[in-house]
Amino acid sequence: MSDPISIRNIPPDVLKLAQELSAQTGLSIIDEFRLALASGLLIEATKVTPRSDGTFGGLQGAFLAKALRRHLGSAIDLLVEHGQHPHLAFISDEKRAHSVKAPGEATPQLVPAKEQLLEHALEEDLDMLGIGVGLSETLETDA
Amino acid sequence: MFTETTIHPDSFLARVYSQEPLITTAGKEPLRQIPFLRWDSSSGRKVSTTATLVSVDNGNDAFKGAMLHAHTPFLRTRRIVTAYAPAKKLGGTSEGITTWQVNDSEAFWIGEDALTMKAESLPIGMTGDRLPDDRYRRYLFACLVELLLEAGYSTPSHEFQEEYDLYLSFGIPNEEVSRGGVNEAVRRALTPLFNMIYTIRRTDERGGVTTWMLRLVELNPYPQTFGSFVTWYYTVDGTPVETDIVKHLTLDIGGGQFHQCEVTLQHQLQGKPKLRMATSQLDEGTIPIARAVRDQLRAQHPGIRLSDVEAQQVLVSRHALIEGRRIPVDGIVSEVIEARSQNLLMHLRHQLQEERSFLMFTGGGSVLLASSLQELVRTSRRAQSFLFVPQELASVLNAIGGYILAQATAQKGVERAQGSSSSSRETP
Repeated sequence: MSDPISIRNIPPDVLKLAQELSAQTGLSIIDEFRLALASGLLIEATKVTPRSDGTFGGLQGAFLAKALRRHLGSAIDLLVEHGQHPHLAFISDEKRAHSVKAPGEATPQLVPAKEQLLEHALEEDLDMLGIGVGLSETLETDA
Repeated sequence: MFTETTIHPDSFLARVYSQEPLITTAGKEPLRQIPFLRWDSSSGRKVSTTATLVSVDNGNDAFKGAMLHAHTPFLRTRRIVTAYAPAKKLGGTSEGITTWQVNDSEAFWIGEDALTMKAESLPIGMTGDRLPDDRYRRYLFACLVELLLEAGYSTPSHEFQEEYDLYLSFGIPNEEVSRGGVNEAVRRALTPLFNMIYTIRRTDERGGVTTWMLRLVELNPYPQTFGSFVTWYYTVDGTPVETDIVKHLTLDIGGGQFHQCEVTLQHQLQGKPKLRMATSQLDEGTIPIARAVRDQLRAQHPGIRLSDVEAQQVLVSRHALIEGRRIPVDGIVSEVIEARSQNLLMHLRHQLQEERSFLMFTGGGSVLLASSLQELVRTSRRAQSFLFVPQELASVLNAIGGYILAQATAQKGVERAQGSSSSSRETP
């Protein structure tokens, strides 16, 4: 194992955040920094220009993406929750409002009447082929 | 850049392959959730709920799931090897293995984790053979949770997750679905899954526990191979792509079965083509090849006794766990594929000679046998007469098609419930 590396000049607000997280999670500050270093370096790897062999700091894109996903899942959720995710431009406000709801909050018209998302060609084809009969329908028929 | 000429650029398949957002021409996202009336046995009446659309291709080799991401217009897929192992207590301080419990079942592992820790074989074959196995049902619900996680449906830092009612498109062997529904054996096998609440407890590798409650409020069986065709033929809007092809044959090489699905497109003077479909099982899938690899391995290492699922995994990964090490077994696998794939390829020779259909190759087996398949097809067919589904999508394409089918049937159900189908069916 290599010698410990001393890290100096950590900004006070970063140190404060580490202390807060440490108090909340029960992990030591050193452990918090270790976790931050691991995930932070993966993010740094995405910022550098890919090498001529196509890798990012020696990591294959697919591997880096897989590793990053574990670290960024919660961050992406937070971005979405606060409307800061860059892909939100693709989502209309109306649809976003309807996007995820618990069963208790059921909205009577998630699909507004007279406004279909799919054209009926596919439905008609399925009717013609006799595909798309759900179990609820067959059990109802039998009842 | 998208260069595959036998995939229409407006098709759902093209959009998923290019990783473009799934937005209709009217600027709308596909359906994620619908209002749904489910039967509540405790009150003896129907209650309203919100059902989340999910698709599963219930393959013999793996669970393949697809659904739209909770917040973004991109599809998420998950493939989990059909492997189950009762969990054991692990000592030491290292990271553990994600462990599952469904209702009051034993704790268990699934997928590659189960394989690493010595998996039990789950039944291979038809739906009626597989679903009655309690271990298989647990595995299925654990996989559904993994799919929800993949699609961003978890609530971070909460043990108790939301209760999800799922509207499930369920891909089963083609021959089990006939016009208007499924046969009695399949219906009996599916019924215990339907409208029952399943409590799934997931303990991740760091000991974090989440509890999920899932209920399948709709279960819509579809012929699994038809799913792949649907992605090729329809746009995100649900309209057919323009094509001069009149006979489309999907050849789906799976782990347990090798299926074909022939769709005839009868072009009309006016309006869209009329479809006719015929499906059949041509042969077993890659399982005989996997078993041959197992026999070869055992001949060289008598102590190595692999289950079917472990043998499939050795075939796919070209590695085997021998004396504590993950050893490459390329030589054995290549030799067996060379010797045993001829049986599968024989069916293709017939289709190639006939020259009547456009051929689309899909399924995990098409990836596994890619080099011999491509050599055979490219030497006897013109480039515009066949398509090898891109490797990254081949094993999950049936499930992706299932998601499109879920949208169509869900929308139809909503329209029926709203009583507005007659007025809304007017062509704009």
